[in-house]
Amino acid sequence: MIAHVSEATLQALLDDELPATEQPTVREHVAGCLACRQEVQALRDADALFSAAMRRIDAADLRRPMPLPPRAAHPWRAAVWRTLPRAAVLVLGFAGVAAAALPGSPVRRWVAALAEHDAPRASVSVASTRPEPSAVGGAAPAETEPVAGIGVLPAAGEVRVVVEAPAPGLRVSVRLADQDRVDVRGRAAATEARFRTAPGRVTVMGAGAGELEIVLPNGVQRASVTVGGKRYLTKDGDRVYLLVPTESTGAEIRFPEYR
Amino acid sequence: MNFDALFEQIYPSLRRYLHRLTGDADQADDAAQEAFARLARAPIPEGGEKGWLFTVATNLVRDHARTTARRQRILSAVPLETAAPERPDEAADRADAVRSVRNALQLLTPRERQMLLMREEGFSYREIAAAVDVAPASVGALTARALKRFAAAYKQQQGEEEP
Repeated sequence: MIAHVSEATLQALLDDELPATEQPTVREHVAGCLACRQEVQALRDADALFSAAMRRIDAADLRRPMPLPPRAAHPWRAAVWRTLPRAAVLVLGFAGVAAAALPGSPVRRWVAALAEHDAPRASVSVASTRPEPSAVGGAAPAETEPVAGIGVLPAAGEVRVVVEAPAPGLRVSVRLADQDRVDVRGRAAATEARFRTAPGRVTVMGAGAGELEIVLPNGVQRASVTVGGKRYLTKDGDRVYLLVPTESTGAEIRFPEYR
Repeated sequence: MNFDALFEQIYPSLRRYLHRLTGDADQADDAAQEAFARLARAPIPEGGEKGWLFTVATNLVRDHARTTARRQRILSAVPLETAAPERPDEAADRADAVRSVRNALQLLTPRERQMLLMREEGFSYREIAAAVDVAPASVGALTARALKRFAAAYKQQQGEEEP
């Protein structure tokens, strides 16, 4: 008569991982050994308990739609896509220079008009360079203060703003507004930021030690703001949870300087 | 199998595994998508994608926890409104149950957690052994021990939760 079967062997048997040559012997022993049958039952019970516990975690998960897959790498296609923008810029550049060289051409007049203006420097997209009234008080920013920003619409009722690798000294503020999209705007050194977007998500990268203003839609069901891997704020329905200390919680929530 | 089909097949399992591992839906989303993005940039030989993705995603989660010294999620943060509403009994019970599970999971070693969660996603002993860097012959013993430790810890948590 063989000795009792080890716990490891019984587990492998239950997981169908025991080599086929060993299974008959082990099964025969288990069938005739109360202690080993009890051990098998204990392992089954522990397994069932674990699976049921995992389902409890799953039940608490947020239900989100499956995202689109990232673009697969196709070497020749990637090469074409890398080359096309450069080729387009070259063609347009030559065409523009040629058009500007022609006396009386509209392009020449447009270039001349631009040269007369002292246009403010601005990085990207949605935000205008009009001065924004300060919710906290103090002097309004200058007329030509540079602003960089982006806006996205929520996806499935949710929006997330993630600030990666923020510079020490970055100040983040959040306010709610009656609008459809989330806006993220950088001022002063934060205009150095680059933005990456996905449905319902804005990732801010390389924001310098300036100010980052985030405007969340009042009506969005779920929202979160994460800075440097730390969750600052969560919105769940009409409730807003502040997860780090704040400097003010009036119309505009101002967080301390990032350290 | 083409990339999109691979994504459809594996993403739900990977995302579920990561949520169970971290308890954080956002972190699970990020790690799962980053793992697939890395696979798209550097394709690996066919057949090993699932194990590779789970390993990469697990490492991402681990690195994130190490480098940012992540805080424990404050589930009971004070809301902006001054009056705290009453929570429904069902939501409170569910939160307690999840807390018990997470506390019991935390009592396992990181390797035990990873092994049990990968086993739940259908990985073989050979694949689990490769992912956690143990001999395949050890997986049965480690699994049995981890399951029993979890069961004992979970039952104790539930015993402490009961009024």
